Amino acid sequence: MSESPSPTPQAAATPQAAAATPQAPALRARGLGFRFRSRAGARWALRDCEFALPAGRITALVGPNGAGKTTLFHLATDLLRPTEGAVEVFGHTAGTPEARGGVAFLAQDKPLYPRYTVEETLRLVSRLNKRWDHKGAEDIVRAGDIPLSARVGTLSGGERTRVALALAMGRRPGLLLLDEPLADLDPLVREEFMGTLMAEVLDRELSVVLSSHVLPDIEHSCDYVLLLKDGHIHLAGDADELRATHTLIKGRADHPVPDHVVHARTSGRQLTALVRTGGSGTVPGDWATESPTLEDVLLGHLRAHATADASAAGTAPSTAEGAAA
Amino acid sequence: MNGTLWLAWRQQRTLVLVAAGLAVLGTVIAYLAHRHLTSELAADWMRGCGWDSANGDACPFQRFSEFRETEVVRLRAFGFLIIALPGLVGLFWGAPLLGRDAELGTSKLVLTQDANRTRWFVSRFALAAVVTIALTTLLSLLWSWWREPLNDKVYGVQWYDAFALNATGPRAVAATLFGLALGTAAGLLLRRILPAMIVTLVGVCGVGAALELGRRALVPPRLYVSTGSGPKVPMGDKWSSGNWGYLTPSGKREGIENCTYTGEELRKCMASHNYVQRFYEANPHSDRWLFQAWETGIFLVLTIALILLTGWLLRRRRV
Repeated sequence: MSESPSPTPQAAATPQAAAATPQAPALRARGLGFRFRSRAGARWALRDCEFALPAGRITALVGPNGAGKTTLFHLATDLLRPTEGAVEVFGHTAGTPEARGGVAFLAQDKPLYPRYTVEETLRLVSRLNKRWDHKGAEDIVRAGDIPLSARVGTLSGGERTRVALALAMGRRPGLLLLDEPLADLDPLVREEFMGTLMAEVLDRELSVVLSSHVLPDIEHSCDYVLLLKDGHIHLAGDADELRATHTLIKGRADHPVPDHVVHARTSGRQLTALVRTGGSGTVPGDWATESPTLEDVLLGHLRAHATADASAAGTAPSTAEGAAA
Repeated sequence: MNGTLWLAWRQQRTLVLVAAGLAVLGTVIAYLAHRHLTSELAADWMRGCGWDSANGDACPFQRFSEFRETEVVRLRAFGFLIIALPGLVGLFWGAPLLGRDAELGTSKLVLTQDANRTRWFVSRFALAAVVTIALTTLLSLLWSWWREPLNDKVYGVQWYDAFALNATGPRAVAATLFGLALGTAAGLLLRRILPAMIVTLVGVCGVGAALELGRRALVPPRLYVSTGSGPKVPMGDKWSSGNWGYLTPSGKREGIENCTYTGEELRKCMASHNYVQRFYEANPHSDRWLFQAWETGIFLVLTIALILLTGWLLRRRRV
């Protein structure tokens, strides 16, 4: 509730360390499912989700539109209640005071009161929280040359995103959830935003989950990946590990296709495929192999057909568990 | 100040100030009007006018109709404001109370902070409820005080006047609370202010009209009987149902149109129809509290149901 900066930077830097067990994953889902009810009937937005995102990582939440990314964020912040299963933030069930205190959420449309000034907006959020770093929040706003007396309604999209980020960071969260933060920003502002975010992550022990459909943006910033498709987890794991366990192969289309192909594409007589190699990196047969980028891996899995997905989904939970341990 | 309460104040301060302005304005108007009314009633020319004026000529007609047109019309206009309060509060206070955040998407901002959503809702609704209750109570007390000198005047506003029944007592306050709760629930349910306003307007007018038409089904008029052609129980300040006539020995009621006479002719007529008693139906003044209790109860039950619905919606979903 205090508007003054936290007494010591150290205390503010690791708020979640004292509040939760150190081993607890930043975000964990157990048999998580959510069903929307509408006039058209019920529809599962998320089903059977099981994952554990390790603390201290920047996780990319990837998936096509309608995959359930936003629903997952809303469940983690108690804006929605699970139909089945549970979500935990640092070991605390979403919605409990401990979980609320540990997580900050930046919604996709960056909802702010247009008639409030930036200053009033900061004060408003400070009033609603027990822990609040006013100086830290103001610094983020100032770094974007946004006057504190400006009305929020007069700000540009990038400035609004910056104010919304300041509100989230001012809470000194252990976990920061960003829903498509870059979607409506131009490339320059996008780079600047990622820069600010990275600086904040380095300064503090912060876990971040960032959803994006702009794959190049996450290539260099994210070190963990959660891929959602049709409400199911299709892939979860460490980014480096995913690169290492996949191989891109190229060869003649009339060759017999090897096992564990995630996705294959033919153009003319040439076949390009993403293959899951399990770490060996070798693929039997006459193929030119290449290490994939994270983008290649994600695209391959995003394009994979439902039949191929079944095998990928089957291995996903073990990948997640292995990386979390 | 508590965080959610601070936010509630910050978002509702314009409405609170408007309510305070209405309260001050209403007090001044009621005070001046009441002062003028009592001085007119005490004036010399007024002595010949009223219930017991033995001689109609003693009342200056021109002056008296002017008095009626201004004083009573003013009183009713003020009463109309009180009757409109449930609608006004529902539309402009209830519907945006949660509806604005739902429409702007800012519920995602305020609901994801430390302060939990129950406290957020309670602070908001409580501030709105306290201010609107205070405003309605004040205005309806002022109106009752203003009406008092006209209460027992034949040209006045009786207790059973629609304005007096709707704009006074706990009933008026409960109606306003109902308007607020309906607007709040509609705003949250529809998540858009304009449709919520329309639903609120329809709901408030609907319940108001239903009570206006059905209140005598809740508190039925009583039967007053007088034997033979002897004197009736005086109507006095009772609210007549307009239903009166004659009773046969078996207790069957027959209309007044069969014997429209007085005195000896009436006695003969009654005898020829075999009528033994005369009757009329009316609600005595003491029924005012039954009307108040029924209508207050109905509004409070509806209000509680709407608050529970709002709480349920807030717990279930509604981002």
